Amino acid sequence: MRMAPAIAALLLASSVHAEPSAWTMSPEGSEIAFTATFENAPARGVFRKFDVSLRIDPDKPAAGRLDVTIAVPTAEMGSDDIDETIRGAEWFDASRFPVAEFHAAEVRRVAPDRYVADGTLTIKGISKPLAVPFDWKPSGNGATITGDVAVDRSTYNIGTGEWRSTKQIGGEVQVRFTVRLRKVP
Amino acid sequence: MPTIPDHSPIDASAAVHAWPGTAKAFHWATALLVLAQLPLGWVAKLWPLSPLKLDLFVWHKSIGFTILLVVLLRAAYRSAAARPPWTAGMTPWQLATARSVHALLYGVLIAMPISGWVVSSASRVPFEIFWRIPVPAIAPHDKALEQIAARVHFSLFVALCVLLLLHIGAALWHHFAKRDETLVRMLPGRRSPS
Repeated sequence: MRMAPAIAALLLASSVHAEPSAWTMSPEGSEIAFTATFENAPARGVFRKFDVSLRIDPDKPAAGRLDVTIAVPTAEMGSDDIDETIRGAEWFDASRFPVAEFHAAEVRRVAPDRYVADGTLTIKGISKPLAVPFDWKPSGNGATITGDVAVDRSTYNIGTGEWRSTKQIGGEVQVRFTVRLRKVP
Repeated sequence: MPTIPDHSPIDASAAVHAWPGTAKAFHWATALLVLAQLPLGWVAKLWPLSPLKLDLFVWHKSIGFTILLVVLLRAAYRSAAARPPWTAGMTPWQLATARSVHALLYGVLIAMPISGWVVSSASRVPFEIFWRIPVPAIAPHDKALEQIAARVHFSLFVALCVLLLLHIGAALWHHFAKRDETLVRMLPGRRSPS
């Protein structure tokens, strides 16, 4: 059977082609921001340090994965007093829980350039499932993913004791991200 | 439409040189707001960090913006409208003191909310007036500036307390010692001195 090696080679080639490509983050132009509410006024913040890696075959996303790690002590909300407060034990408890993570081993396509990563978000040592939708924009040998997702701070014990009340500091926090990716050669 | 006569029987100006109703309304609105605002600012500042402290500051800042608006409108009104004559029999130094204290009251009541606005802006703590109306920042995010503005705000508070003591003291002195119409003509709905 002389055809066998050829078929094997073809199969190998196609499986190599179907292998999801790996992408790493370019920090420049990448942002993970969040908006909480403070006495009904929007209170915006960013995480200065984070890392994102993605493995995806845009046409066969199921085998993809998305990994995000965030340096919690780098949260900045534009006010010294607030920045100091949110690192405290009642909020992020950033010294005990310096890393927030999101890991998804499943990605599904919901529209031509829109995907949802089904994974687990861990903040302050508490892990809960979270579906993170994102738009995928390829450009040259790079790509940009953007998306936003609402997170309920009470799920992760952010704001304990009397701060559980959502009257002054709202319960829902909107997380927005723009991540520039580079294909790993 | 016929105009309503200026000297209706219930108007105090028929009996004494009363202030017009608009002037009285401005005066007592300012008085109520300021008397609520002073202890409120004090309590908000000293209260330990808690949800209630955040609420107290929203009230304090919101009332501060209200005072700024009321006093600016009042200053515009006072510069346009006629005022009743000064109480008869005042000596030149009394007149000069009265004029100065009133001018300083206006100045402090405008400067104080603005210095508070600078503190709030420099701190970048999110704020909307009465939880509804966003206000622009009038200062950069700067801890040192915040502290300077806070010191100015406190100094103006001390100055305002002194001015209020002089103002209220003089009103009572006119009423009880001099027994003239100075206090009564600012009282709402009064026709003659008691």
